[in-house]
Amino acid sequence: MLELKVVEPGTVHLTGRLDAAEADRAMAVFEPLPGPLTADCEGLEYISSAGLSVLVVTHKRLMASGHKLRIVNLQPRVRNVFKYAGLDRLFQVE
Amino acid sequence: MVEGRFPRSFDSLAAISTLIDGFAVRENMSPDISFDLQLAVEELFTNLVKHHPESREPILLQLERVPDGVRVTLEDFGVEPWDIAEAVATARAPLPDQGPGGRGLRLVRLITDEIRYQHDRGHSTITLIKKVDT
Repeated sequence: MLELKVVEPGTVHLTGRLDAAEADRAMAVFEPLPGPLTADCEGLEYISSAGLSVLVVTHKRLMASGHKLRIVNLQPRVRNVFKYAGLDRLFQVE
Repeated sequence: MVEGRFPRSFDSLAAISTLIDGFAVRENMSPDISFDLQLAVEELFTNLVKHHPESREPILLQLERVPDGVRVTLEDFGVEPWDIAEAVATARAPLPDQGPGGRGLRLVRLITDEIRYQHDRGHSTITLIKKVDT
């Protein structure tokens, strides 16, 4: 189960699991948000390639308008998935 | 050994995760191993669902402790041949300006130790080994 909260303009808090079952719902939350954006992943316990794709698509959309997507507070296991996928070089991961 | 049959839907992922977590706890495996098993199984399961719309049969998942790790078996019924082990072996991460294809199978290659594929008369068996330090 994934919980997404837009707690302040430009910041989305993710809690739970961002897997293939939740990717469409996550995309629906990110899609209308203007940049710059921060994804606070402190509560994100799990991510798969489907979840990574949501963030990649959002990043590309923001880049097209001169903004970026920051990824912050990754837990170690989730950070490893970014690293294995080579996305730690694409995103600003803090 | 634990096993479950899961409908070919992404909605099955929550139940798959629960099965793997329970297995890992029972076998005294670390949360890191459970995480990697869940990730590998999700990537394989979702690929089977996407690549085999011709089947309506549930997918059988089995997890078994073996001397040096865990053996995971996914059995898919009523499907055409598609060597997912070969796809895993050759998967490359997509460039940032390309689509997501290949990223998940590349993850499987990086977090597991062995993957085998067999197909016989509409029945595919994918066997995956994840080594575990004892």
